[in-house]
Amino acid sequence: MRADYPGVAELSTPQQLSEFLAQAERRAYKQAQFAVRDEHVALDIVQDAMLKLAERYGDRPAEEFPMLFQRILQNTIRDYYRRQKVRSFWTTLMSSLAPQQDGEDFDPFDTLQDENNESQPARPDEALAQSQLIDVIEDALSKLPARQREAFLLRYWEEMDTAETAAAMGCSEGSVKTHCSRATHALSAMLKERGIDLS
Amino acid sequence: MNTKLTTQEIGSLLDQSTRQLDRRTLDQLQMARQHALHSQRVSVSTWVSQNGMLHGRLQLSARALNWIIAAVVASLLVINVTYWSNLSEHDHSDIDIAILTDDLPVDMYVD
Repeated sequence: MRADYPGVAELSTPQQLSEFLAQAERRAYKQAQFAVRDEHVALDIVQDAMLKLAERYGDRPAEEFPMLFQRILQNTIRDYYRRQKVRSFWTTLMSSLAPQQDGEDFDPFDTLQDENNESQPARPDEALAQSQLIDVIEDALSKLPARQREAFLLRYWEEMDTAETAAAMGCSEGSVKTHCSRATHALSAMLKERGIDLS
Repeated sequence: MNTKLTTQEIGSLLDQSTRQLDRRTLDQLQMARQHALHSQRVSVSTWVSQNGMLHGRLQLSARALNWIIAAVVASLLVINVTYWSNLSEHDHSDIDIAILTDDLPVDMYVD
């Protein structure tokens, strides 16, 4: 038994990685979708993150997977932002020579399908109210600044503590607290406008 | 809408929304997962003695492992072919020597 040797961590099995990815993929997809607001790009980001985790850290102890995966996911989202920044620079430069078109506001949550509702409440009015509530929350989360959203989701959705969140975000614990506090205030203000009190 | 929520309840609602993902997205996520698992880095560990006489860990991806296996099989094939061609050459040189020394075995005239 490898675990019998002092200082040697138990390595993960393919089964453990498979189980971890199966339970983490939906949340990861949602996080990516909040960040990029495009379901195809969100899927690409999650696929990239899963591939990087498997290729580079697939043999690490299973208890390290959540932290590593979050770190990889957030870095992959940031890489996407960087590429978008470069692309938009060139697009702006090129389009300054051509007539501008008014872009439409696109919100992927307007078209979020609900075909596989596994835990839908029995009453249709409750289901509708809950669905609307989720739409409002997701819309508000999408409008938060990237770092604030990241901190909020890691702390209150992934239920990481401050130290773990700081490690996943690559910043200090103080920064995590600041981001979380600002995110909660901003979210509270946005939700209050829609008649929801965040306590 | 007049509702009171805590951050924990927001987490629960977000979980609820992950359960409402459409079938197409779930299928694509599953495909991405399978693709990732196919590329998983695996470790081959060797532990010989408890006092640390010999222990090591070889880390490589499943894809790399497949390449290594293919390379080993190809090497064995090349070695095998080389061995048999050398053996055949050796047979011919034995016959050449036998002809030169006029010591050809009788069975060479059979057929």
